[in-house]
Amino acid sequence: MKNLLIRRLLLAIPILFGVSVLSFLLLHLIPGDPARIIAGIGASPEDVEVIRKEFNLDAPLYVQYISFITGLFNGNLKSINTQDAVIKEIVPRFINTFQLSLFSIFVSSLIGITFGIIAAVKRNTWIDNLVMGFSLFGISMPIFWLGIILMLIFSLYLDILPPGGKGGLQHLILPGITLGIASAAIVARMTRASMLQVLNQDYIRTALSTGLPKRKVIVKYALKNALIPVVTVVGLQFGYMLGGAVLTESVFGWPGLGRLIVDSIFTRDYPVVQSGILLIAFVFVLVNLGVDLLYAVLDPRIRRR
Amino acid sequence: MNNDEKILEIKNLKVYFDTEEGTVKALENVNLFLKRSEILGVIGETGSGKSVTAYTITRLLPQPPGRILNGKVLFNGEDLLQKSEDEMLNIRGRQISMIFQEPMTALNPVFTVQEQMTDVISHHEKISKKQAIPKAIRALELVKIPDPELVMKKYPHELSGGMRQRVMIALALSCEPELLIADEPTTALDVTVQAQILALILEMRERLGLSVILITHNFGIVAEICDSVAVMYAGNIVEFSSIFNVFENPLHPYTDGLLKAIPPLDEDVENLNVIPGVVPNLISPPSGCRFHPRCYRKLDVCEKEIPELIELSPGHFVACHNPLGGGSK
Repeated sequence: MKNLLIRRLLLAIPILFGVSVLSFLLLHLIPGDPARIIAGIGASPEDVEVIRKEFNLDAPLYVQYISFITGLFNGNLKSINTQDAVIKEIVPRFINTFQLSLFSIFVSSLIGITFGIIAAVKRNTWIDNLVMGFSLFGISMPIFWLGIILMLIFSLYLDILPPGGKGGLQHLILPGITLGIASAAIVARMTRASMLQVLNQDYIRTALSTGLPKRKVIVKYALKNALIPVVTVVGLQFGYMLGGAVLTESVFGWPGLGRLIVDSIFTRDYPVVQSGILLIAFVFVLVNLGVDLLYAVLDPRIRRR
Repeated sequence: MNNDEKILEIKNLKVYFDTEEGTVKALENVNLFLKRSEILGVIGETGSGKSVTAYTITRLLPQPPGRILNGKVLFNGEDLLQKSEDEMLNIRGRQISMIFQEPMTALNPVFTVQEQMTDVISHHEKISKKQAIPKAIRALELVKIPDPELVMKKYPHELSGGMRQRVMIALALSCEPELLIADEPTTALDVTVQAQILALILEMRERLGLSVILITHNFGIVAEICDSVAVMYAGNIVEFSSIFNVFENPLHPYTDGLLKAIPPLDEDVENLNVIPGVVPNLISPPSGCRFHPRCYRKLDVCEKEIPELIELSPGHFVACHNPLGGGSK
C-alpha cells in the first residue's frame, strides 16, 4: 500500500510538469504575436511594445516559463484586469468550486449508487425501467435547463431556497443538486451494470449458499466488488466538477473557478487563464491519485502490484 | 439413530426453465434418496440436470427463469420446497452446505478468509464476529490447513487452488451441517490435490457423520468414495443403486455405455468406446425414453412410453423398458 502511494506520487511529478508546460505554452501556441494577442484588437504599436516589455515576452521561453511558475507562487504574476496576484484571485474561487463539487459528488454518489443497486437487484422489472428511465432523462437533459426549473420551483413558487449567489449552506443546495443529478444518472448506470455483473459471480452464489440474508450479500459481498468501476466514474465526475461547472455556476451566480476562467478568456486575462488551467489539471491529477488509492482499498489484488 | 434413515429424499421433482428459445425441460421426474452418513454420487453429462437438482435442494435455483412444477424435497422428513425464505436462511449453511467447482472464483476476492468465515458463523450461531474467530480457526484446522491463524488474514488470491477449496470446505462445514452438497468439487484441481480433497470429504464423513451428495461426471471419483450412485440423463434418473450394483451389474444401457467408455488401464486400446450421438436438446426432448435415439437396446415401446424408475431388484432402481441383465420386463 505504501509502495503504491509512493509510486503513484512519483508518477504524478512528470505529469504535473507536462501540464504546467502546456498551460504556459497556451499563449505562445495561439497563432500570432503573444503581445498583440494580450493587447487585443485595435491596440496601438506602442501599447503592444509596452506589453511586450511588461510580460518579458522577448526573453527565451524557458526563462518565461520559470518566471511564470515562480510568479504564480510569489505573487508576481498578476491579473491584467485587477492587478491582483493571480493566486489571490484563483484560490478563493477554487474553494467555492470545491465546496460545490464536494456537495454535488455526495448527492451524485448517494443517489446514483443507491438507485443503481436497486435497479440491478430488480432487473427487468418496472422498478428497473423507472430508474433507468430517470437516468436517461438525467443524462439527456441540459444542465442549465434543470437548474432553471429547480430555481423556478424552489425559489420562485415555494420560496424556500435562494435562487443564487453565495452565502450559507442554503445557497449550496440548488446548484449542488443540479450538478449532482446529472452526474448521478451516469453513476446509477455504471453501478447497475457493474452490480449485474457481480451478482452473477460464483462468490455471490457461495455467499447465498451459506445462508447469509440476500440483503447482506448484496450490500456487503456484492457491493464492494461492484464499486471498483463505479469509483472510476465518480472520480472522473468529481474531476470535471472541480474543473469548474461553468453552466451551473452561471445559472446560479455561483462565484466558482469555471466562471472566472471563462470571464478571463473574454477579457484576454491570460495569466488568470493559464494559472486556472494549471490548477484544474493539478487537481485532476490529485483526484485520479485518490481514485487509484481507493481502488487499492477496495481490491486487495491491486495492493500487491 | 437408525442407520437406514433417509436424511434426504427427492420425489417426482420436475423443474423447467423459461428461456427465449422455449421451455427447457431440465428435470422431468427425479427420484432419489440419501441415507444418513452416506455419500451419494450423482453422475451425468453436462446438462443432465445434476446441478439443477443440487440448487433445487437448497432453493438457490434462480426463479425466474427456473420453475419448480412438481415434487418434494424431504430433508429429515420436512419438505424444503414448502419452506419460507427466512426458514431457508437457517437451513442453508447450518444444516445443508454447498461447495463448488471453481475454488478460484467461489470465494469473494475482496474479503479476507476471516471476514467471510466469521460472517457466516456469527450469522448462524448468533454470536459476535470476534467470538466466531476461534470457531473459524477450528474449522480450518479440521480441514488440515497448516497455520490457520495466518490463513485467516489472507485474501483468496493469496492461496493456492487446493488451499482455497479447503477454505471453501471449512466455510461449508463451519456450522456443522448434516448434509454437504459438493458440485464437482475436484474438477478444477490437480490430480494429486483432487485425491487430497476426496480423502478430506471421506474423513469428514467419518468424523462428523456428514451425509454427502457428490455431483461429478467422473466415474473414477464415484468408485473411490461413494456408497451409492444416481445416474442422470437428460433430466431423469436412469439408474440408482449401491455402488456395487451399478458397477458390477449395470441395468441401464446408458450406465453400461458410460462404464465401457472408461479406458482400461491394463490394455492397449485403439479406440475408446463412446456412446453414439449427443445429449438431446431439452427444449424438445425425444419422446418416450429420452435416451432412445442413442440406445443400442431400443424397442418400439421406448419411443412412445416414458419408462418409470422401478426397483428391479432390491435396492436397484432403473428406468428402462429393456434393461440389461434381467432381460425385458
